[in-house]
Amino acid sequence: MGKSFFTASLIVLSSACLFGDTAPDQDFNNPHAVISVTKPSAIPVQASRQSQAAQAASAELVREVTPAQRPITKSEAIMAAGDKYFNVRNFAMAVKYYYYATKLNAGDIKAWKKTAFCYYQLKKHNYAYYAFQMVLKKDPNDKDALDFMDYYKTIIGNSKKKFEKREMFDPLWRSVIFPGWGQFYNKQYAKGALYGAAFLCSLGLTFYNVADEKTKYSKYVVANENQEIAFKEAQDAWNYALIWGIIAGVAYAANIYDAGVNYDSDEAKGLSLNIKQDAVYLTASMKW
Amino acid sequence: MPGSHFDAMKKNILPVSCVLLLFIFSACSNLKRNNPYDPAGTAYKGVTYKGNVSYPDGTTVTAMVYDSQGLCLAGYNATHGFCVMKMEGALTDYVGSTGNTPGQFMNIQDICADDTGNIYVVDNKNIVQVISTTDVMSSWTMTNVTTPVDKLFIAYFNNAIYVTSDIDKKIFEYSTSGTFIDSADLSFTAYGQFTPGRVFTFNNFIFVVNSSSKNQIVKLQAGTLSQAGLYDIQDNIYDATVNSGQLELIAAGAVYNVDENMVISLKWGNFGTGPGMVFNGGLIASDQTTGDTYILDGQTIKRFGE
Repeated sequence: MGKSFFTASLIVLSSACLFGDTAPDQDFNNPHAVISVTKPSAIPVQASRQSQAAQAASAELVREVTPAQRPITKSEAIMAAGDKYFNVRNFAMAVKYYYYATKLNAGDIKAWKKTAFCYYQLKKHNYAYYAFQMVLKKDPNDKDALDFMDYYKTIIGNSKKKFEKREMFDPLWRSVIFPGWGQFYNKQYAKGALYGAAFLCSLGLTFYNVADEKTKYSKYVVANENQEIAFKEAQDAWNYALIWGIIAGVAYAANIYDAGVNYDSDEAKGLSLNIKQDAVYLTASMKW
Repeated sequence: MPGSHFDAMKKNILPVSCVLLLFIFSACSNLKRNNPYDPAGTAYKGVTYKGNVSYPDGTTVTAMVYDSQGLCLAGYNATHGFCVMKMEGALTDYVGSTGNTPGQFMNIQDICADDTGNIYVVDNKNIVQVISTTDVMSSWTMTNVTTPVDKLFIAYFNNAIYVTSDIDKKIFEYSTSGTFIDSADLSFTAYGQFTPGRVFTFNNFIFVVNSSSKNQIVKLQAGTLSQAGLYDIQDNIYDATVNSGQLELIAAGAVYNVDENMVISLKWGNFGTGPGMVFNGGLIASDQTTGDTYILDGQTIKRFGE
């Protein structure tokens, strides 16, 4: 059976609300596997080398400080250097300084947070996740870190759902009770709406034509003229009722079958959050 | 909802859904043609409304007969006065006019036709006027009928003319040329006082309706005029005709097909709604060739047949 994919996207939340000014400028290539839940064992070697370069750069920055100015700490100088790159959105360079700052002072929440932001922007979510965890270790109430962790937890939760075993009977009995309900349970909303609408429309037309047939047949049985015409009208209404009844039956049966077949589909296992430009999209894929 | 009950309910859902589908289709039970007026139906009673028959405007019909040439109406026409209207195809032949001289009529009360197509007319005089198939008129006096007359009704059977007179409370028998043959007293029957009214013939019997109580009919033996039966019909009878070996009696809201003993084999004209229903039946006539029945319903003449 050929498969085609249709994606319906809903904007549920603006990233301006969720991320403030730290809006990402690229989406994830794979909306279903945004992040690994595995905590990185350590900051990678590459990051350590970057911090060495940052150390040298900060020394240069310290030398530029004039005697009239307040002496700044090395850590502050490193952070200032990082901010310089951060403000021009050069996150790759900025993260070297920020991470080096965390090395100088492991309790520097601001350094950890900016490190996390930079990794987020660089789409290195494992590192960003770890950095936000570090922020929360220092300050469990940090709002930015909490927001990001919520976001990551949602994605992690959805990813876990993919491996949860679902019961076929759950969508099945829902579709039996009301066509389309099973599809909704499988998170195939468009298809569920379509089945529900098709069944309701055809059922409504069936009942309408049944009532029409009853009325016309009643007229026929007491007609004392033009009986042929009266009977034909009743018969036509009966035929329409039969056709719509069959359509309703087919829609009903197909809805049950479809709900049973797709009980364990990817769509049924969960939704994926997809980040695109300045917005977060809730996506649901519909498989036919 | 308790889990165990809910699980039990869920297990019954598939059978329930099947019942739902069956319900949908059972609502569409197969159609049967059980209309008694439908010629193609299994319950067909042999009577179908075939439409109305148009007749001259401004006409008040008081008597109706179907002779060998077509439907004949007697009554008052706004243009021609009291006359007999022979409706032969699209044309209407008006015979007679208003007056008291031979060839003229005044308050025509009844007409009948013999086997050859001659029409016999009685009005408020004690004469019978005869209209031949070529519209030549002649007349003869009804011997023994008291004048002035009130209500007269006339019928033909087996070369004899039968006339009832409510004043005389008798039925008179004449030859078609006017020779008096016999008469019989109808003042009293087993029902009590009897006023002779509409007369009609069937199967060698003469039937007379009690005009004081129109659901009572007396049956007389043709020729001897002896009483052969008394009948109490469930409806008031206004006229009758013979069609396809049956007597058809017209009542206000129905037609009764009966045999010579007034046993009802079919009641019709009261079925359904619309123009095929008889609401105010008054006169009835039948075409022996086609079997069609003509009914004057109020001011409308309706045609019924198979």
